[in-house]
Amino acid sequence: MRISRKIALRNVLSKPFRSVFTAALSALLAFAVFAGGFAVLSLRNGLESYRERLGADVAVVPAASKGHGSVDDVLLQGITGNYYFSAKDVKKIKETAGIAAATEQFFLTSAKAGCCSARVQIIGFDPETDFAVLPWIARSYSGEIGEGDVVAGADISVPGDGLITFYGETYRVAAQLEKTGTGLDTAVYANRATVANMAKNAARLLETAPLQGVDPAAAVSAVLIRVEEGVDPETVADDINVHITKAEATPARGMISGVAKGLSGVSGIIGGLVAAVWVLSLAVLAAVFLLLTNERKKEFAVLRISGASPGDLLRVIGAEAAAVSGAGAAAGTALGVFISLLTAGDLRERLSLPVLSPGAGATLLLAALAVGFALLSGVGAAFVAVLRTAKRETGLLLREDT
Amino acid sequence: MEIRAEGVARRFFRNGRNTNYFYAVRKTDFTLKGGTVAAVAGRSGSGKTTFANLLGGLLRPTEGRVLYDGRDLFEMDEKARSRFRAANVGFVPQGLSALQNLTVLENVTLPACFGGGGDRERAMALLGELGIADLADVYAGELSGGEARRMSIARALLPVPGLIIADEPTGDLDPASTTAALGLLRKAAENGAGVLIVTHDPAAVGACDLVYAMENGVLSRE
Repeated sequence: MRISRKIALRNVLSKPFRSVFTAALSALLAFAVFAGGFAVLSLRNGLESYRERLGADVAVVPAASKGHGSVDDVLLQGITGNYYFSAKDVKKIKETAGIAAATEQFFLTSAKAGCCSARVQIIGFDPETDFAVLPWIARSYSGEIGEGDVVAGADISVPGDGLITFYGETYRVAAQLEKTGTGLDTAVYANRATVANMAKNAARLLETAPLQGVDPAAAVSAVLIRVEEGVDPETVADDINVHITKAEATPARGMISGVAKGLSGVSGIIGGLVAAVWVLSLAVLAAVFLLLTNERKKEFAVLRISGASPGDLLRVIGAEAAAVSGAGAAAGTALGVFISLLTAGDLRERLSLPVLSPGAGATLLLAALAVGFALLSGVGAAFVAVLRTAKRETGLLLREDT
Repeated sequence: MEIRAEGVARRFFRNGRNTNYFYAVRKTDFTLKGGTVAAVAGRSGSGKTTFANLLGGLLRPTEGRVLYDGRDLFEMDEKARSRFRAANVGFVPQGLSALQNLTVLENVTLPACFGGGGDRERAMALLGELGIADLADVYAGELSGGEARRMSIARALLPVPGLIIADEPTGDLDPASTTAALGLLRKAAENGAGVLIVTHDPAAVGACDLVYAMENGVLSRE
C-alpha cells in the first residue's frame, strides 16, 4: 500500500468521531444533490409527460366544476367532479369558430373496486372522435378497445386473470399504460359505451347515484378541442368563455405554463436548498480540515523531514479526505436513492405537480454525479485548508510546533 | 561529502511586520566535511536550530547559499530538494517527532517511501543498535520520550545519508542510550558522513571533533 494511503487510512481509523462527523457532512451534501436532482428530474419528466399526454389545444369543462374537478385536476390529479354539460352546450362548443376537431369525455368515479384500495377515476372517451387518449394508448396497446374492455393506468393493480370489477361487473383489462407521473396513473380508460354501462350499474347498486339523473349515454364531463392551423387556442378559449356561460375553457398552453411555472418555482427552491447545503458543507469541511491541519503541523514536519514534498503532503490529506468523503458520499447517495424512490408518490401529492421518476440509467448517472460532487467537494475543501501549510517551509513548521 | 554555507543568514519578521525583524542567524560561513562530527553549542534562542535547519535544507536562507557537494540546495525546486534530502540528509529534529498512527518500524522506514535509501532489514539493525528492536511493531504514540528520540535517530540514519544533522539528539536519553546514539553517529561519520550535532549536552560535545559556539546568531569556532 502506498504510504500516503496507509497514513490516511490509519488517521481515519484512529479518530472515529472526527471521521464520522466529516463523513456525515459529505453524506448530507451527496443526499441533498441526489434527492434535489432526483426531484427536479422527476418534475421535468412529469411536465414532459404531461405535455405529451394533454394532446388537446383547449380543454372545456362545465363552469360549475371550476376549482373542483376541472380538467387540469383530472389531468394532473385524477380528481373528478359530478358536473356535466347539457347536449345543447356541447353542440354550442363544437360550433365555435376555429375548431378542427373536438371530442367528448365522460368522467366517472368508481366506488372502492375489487382491484384497488382507493377510488379509481374512470374516463370514457369516444373512439370515433378521440385524438387525445387513443394515441397515448397506442404506445402500449395496438389492438382495439371494444365494449367491455378497459385500459388501466400504470399504478392500477391488475389481477393475474386480467379481469377487473366495477359495480358488480367484470371487465377485461386490454392494456396497461406507461407511467405518466400524473394522477392518471391511477385512472382507468374505456369507451363511452363501457363507461355508460358502469354508470348504469352504479345507479342500480348505490343509494346515491353518481350521475344524479343525467343520462350516462349522453353525459359529457369535458370537451377537448384541437384548433385549426394558424388559430390561437387562446382566442378559441376566450370565444367559448364569452359565449357559453356554463363552460370554462382553458388553453392547454395555459395549463402547461401554469404547471411549468409551478415546476420552475419548486425547482428553484430545491436548487437554492442544494446550493445552501453545498456552501454550508464546504465551509464546515474546510473549517474541520483547517483545524486538523493546525493540529497536525508536527506530523507534516516529520513527513517533510523524511523527504515528503508538499505534493506528497497533499496526497496524504487528499487520500484521507477521499476515504472519509467517499464513504460519506456513498452512504448519503444510497440514502437519497432509497428515500427518493420511497417518497416519489408523496411528492406528486404534496406539490400537486406531475412527477415522473427518471429511469434506471438517469438515476445511476445522478447517483454517480452526487457521489462525485460530494467527494470532490470534500477533497477540494481539504486541499484549500491544507495548501498553505503544505507549502510552508519545514523549518517554520518545526518552529511553530516547538 | 562536503556541506558549505556561504554568507548564510536568516531573518524573521515579528508579528508579520516588514519593519520589525531580527536575525536568528547572521552572515555565516561554515564548512563540514565527511568523516567529521561537529557540535554547535549555545544558549537557547541563540540561533542553533535555525542554523541546523538552514544547513539541512529545511529553511531557506534570506541571504547566502548552502552547497552540498557544490550543489546549491535552494536552486532546486521544492520537490527535487525534498527527494534530495530524503536520500542525502538525515535529520533528527528537536522535540518528539513521530507519526503517532504508524509503528516504530514504519516511522523509521519513512525516508525509503520518499526516495531515500534503506530497507526494513537496515531499519531493524539500527533499532537493535539503539536497543529498541523489540518495539518495532509498537505504535509510535505509545513510546516514551527516550524511545521516540532513538526512533528518530534510526530514521535519520536509515538512508545512509552523507549529512546527518541532529538537534539535541541526546536530550531525553539515559547515559547508556546516549552512548549508543553517539556511537551510531560516530560510526556514520567513519563511513563518510558529515555529522552536525546541536546540543547542550557536555557528553555530546565531548564526543565531537569540532565544536562551534552560537551566540546571538553569530557562529564561532571554540
